[in-house]
Amino acid sequence: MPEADSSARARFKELAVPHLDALYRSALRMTRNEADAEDLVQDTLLRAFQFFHQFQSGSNFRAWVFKILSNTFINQYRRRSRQPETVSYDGGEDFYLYSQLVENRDSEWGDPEKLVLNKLQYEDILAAIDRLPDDYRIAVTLSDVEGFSYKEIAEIVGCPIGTVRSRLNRGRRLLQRALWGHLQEAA
Amino acid sequence: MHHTTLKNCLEAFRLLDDYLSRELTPELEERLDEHLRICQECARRFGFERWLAEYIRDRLRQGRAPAHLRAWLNRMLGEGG
Ligand SMILES: [Zn+2]
Repeated sequence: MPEADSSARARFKELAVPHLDALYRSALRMTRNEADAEDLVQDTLLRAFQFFHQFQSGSNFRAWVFKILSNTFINQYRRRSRQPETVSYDGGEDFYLYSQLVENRDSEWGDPEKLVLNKLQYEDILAAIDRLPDDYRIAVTLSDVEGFSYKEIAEIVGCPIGTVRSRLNRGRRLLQRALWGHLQEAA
Repeated sequence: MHHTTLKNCLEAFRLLDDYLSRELTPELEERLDEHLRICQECARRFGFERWLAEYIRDRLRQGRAPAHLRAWLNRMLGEGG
């Protein structure tokens, strides 16, 4: 292996390895199945390494590699991923979960926070996110799980910042409805 | 610039997403904080929203890549680094 190539490998490894968990869990939310998520991460990292010479040293590697993840998902996986159930969205309903929890509170249920802690399982949260339509699910995952800013998400998914805000707005509200559904089943 | 309190709760509601994303301008953040200090109901609602967002984030960030995927990456990039 030529010297230049091996030093590029070392540099790429140093940058990419710390993001492997985040890439995989985001890929899993995108594809919603483990086999596709693994393939997607492998494709992403192979492409990232192939185009690594285009990465500007010192710039945001995490956003750069997530952009490749998002592009790869959209171009290669989205078509064959199963479509979520159609969800209707009937306008702005702020604080939906909080309101439901407070309205339906009885002595045994207690604080909204306590109820969520006691009754909402990890699997319920995953299932609720996975029911969101692709665009909302990706925006919510990038923002609320991985902590990317509006501007970073806009670059990663290739849309205007206003679109990111509206996808987050709708995605979070749909998510709360789905979480409430799981809480009612658990009650 | 004249400093005003948010007129009402609806004005605060419009800031919810930017608040959760920590994307409020310092000026709007200050105005929202001011409203949350005088409006107990909004303080409770906004407090729950942020708590829920952090709870979801903490749970979902526990997701790890499978060991064989990590092994694949190490093989691809050379074990020694
Ligand atoms: Zn208020």
